[in-house]
Amino acid sequence: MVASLDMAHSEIRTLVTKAARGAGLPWGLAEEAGWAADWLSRRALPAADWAAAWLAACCEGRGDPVTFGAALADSLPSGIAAGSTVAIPDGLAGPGYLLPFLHRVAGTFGSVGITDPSGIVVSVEASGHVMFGPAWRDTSRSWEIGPARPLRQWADRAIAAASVIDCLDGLALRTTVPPSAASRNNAGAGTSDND
Amino acid sequence: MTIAERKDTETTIPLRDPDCVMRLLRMGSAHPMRLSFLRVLLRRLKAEGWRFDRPLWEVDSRGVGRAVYRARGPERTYCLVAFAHDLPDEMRSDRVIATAWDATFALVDGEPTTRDLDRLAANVPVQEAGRISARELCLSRANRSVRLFSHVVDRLAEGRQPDIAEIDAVGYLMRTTAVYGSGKFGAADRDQIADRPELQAPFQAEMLSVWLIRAFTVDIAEHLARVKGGDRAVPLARDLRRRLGVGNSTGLGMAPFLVRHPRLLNNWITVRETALARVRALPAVDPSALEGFLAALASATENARSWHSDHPAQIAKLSQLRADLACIADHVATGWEKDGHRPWDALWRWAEARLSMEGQECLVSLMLEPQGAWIDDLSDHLHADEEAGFAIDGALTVARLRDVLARDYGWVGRFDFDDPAQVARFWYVSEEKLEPRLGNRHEEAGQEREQPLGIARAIRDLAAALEGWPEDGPVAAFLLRHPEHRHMVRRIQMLQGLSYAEIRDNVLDHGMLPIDILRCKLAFFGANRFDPRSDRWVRISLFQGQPFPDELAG
Repeated sequence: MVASLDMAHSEIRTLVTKAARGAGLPWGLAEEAGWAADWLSRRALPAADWAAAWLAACCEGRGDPVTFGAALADSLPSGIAAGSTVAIPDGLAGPGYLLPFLHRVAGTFGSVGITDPSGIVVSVEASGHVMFGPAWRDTSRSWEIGPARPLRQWADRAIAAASVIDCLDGLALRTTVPPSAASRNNAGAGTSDND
Repeated sequence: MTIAERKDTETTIPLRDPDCVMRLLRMGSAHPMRLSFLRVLLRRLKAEGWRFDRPLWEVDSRGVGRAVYRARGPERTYCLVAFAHDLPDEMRSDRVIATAWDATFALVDGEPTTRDLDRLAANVPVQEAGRISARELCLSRANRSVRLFSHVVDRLAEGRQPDIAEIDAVGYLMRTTAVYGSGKFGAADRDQIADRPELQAPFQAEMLSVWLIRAFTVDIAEHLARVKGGDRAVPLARDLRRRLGVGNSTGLGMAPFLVRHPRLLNNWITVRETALARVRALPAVDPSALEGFLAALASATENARSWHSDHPAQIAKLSQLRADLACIADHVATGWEKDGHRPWDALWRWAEARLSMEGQECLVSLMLEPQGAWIDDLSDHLHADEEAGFAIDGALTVARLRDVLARDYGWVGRFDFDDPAQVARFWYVSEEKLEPRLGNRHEEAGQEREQPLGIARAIRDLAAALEGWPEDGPVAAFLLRHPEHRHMVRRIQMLQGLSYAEIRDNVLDHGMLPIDILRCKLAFFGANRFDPRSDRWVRISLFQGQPFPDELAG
């Protein structure tokens, strides 16, 4: 059994796009999810694991970081320009998927951070570098950023657990249509292609 | 400055109107040209003095084994690793749902080690069920043309050359049934290689794969002829070999690509249209260009004569093409004022008034053929930054969005989506090996899982949803309420100013022919002998008439 897969970033992007659509997101937000997955995996962050987390929550009708993050990036600069803070909803699973959208915001305002009463959760620089603070949490509480993993490295490839990919594949399959005789008959050449 | 903007400073001939160029009927009449991707590849390989050899050939008497074809350029080396199989006839299918093939391939970035070869041997023969790595650029497979392959092997084994009519009737020994790149199944991401000059233009790694596969198809046939005929066997004559390309069998999967990659489509079409405008603007007919044009015309006439198809639509097009080519030849000989003002433009305007779309689009290729000095630089503009503009500008006002819709998508008003016939089709992906398919909305299940390819209808829906929204309100607020339109708002924003980005037709219409989309894309690849096997399935040939690796330097 394969424990993990060495994937192209574009594969992760495509898979998460389909999985997000399969989980019920509109196509435009599914595209954002795929883009965010690509952004994360290039930074050696667990794009597939986090996607599986928030998509599972999404399937249960809970809020997701992509819908929130995309809306945040759409509506800023007005919020931060006015010097106000923006409250993030409690209980977002896979909050790492906020980071790519914080990067979009950081492109306008420089470094953008998330804080909580105990201190810095995470910051994202305009360059795209991410710095996790001691208050970083994962609402699912089933993953953690490994202390040995360099947090500011760039990755040539995406690495994901095979079980996570299976989970995403299952959601992605919801974008496909089950086979039928009519479907088969209308596909292909309609004649023998063994000539 | 985009190419489209630059052309206005270089010529005074406007590019053709997108409402003319981006219609399916015309896109479905596209012809390969000197700026097609395989031509771009071969020009570079020749200009840079690339060298080719076959460092490994381990194929047994059944034709089973592996081989390596090496291409060495000034800076980098690429190798095609080929696996030859003994495929039972009953398993041979070109459909994506097939699970075994006559030959399978991977294009390796650099030279494969023995360990790489073993790793690839465990994965490449099973194609989508295996994994390749960032060391590989492409994954592909091919099936034999049963009748021609057997004929060639038998003849060569007997010490005779194959029948030229048999060769021309098919045109290839093997046809590829999929060529995957750009990160598929673990291959290197496109952006890892996109800055290499030799891979910057679109599909260059895929074209290199197919060109080297073409050499393999002849080698494996000659190998089996030697096994069968022993000392009597002879190699395939060079002039006959040149007549062989690589076939390609393509279904619907290729059609959504042009809808999903609008910035790329825009650049391909802009390059071609800019090239045409440059040629039309030339003040005189250069004698060598005239000679090249006439040679291209003769070649196209011969190609049209031997181009065979059983598809009714293609039969009609071929008939038009043959008549138009005769008409062009007659006009060039007797009517064309070659010494007049802008003679190429005069020829073009004559063609627009007299020829069918098929003939007009063929003439585009003929006019470009001898003008390399004026247009070959445009191949540097075929690629596209497809991420540009991905982030939505939420501050855009609804009024501005409406303005852009009116300016760029006025063509959508031609369609009536309340007419069931105009929404009769829906594009979907089947669970069966994720094969892209086209369904009948009014008869088949599955439209709730429709792919978002019906751009014209989506624009109509977006425009309707925008009604009543405050003019000065930001689009961010609209999208909060209507996330279902997000992908279209992004698309509109990304494509501003790109005149050739959209197919200006309704791909949901009951009369839409997917083969029109396929032909446009395949013409940019450089494919000829376009032969539809149904409205949604086509065979073509690549590299037919082009040099083999051992001929390129000569």
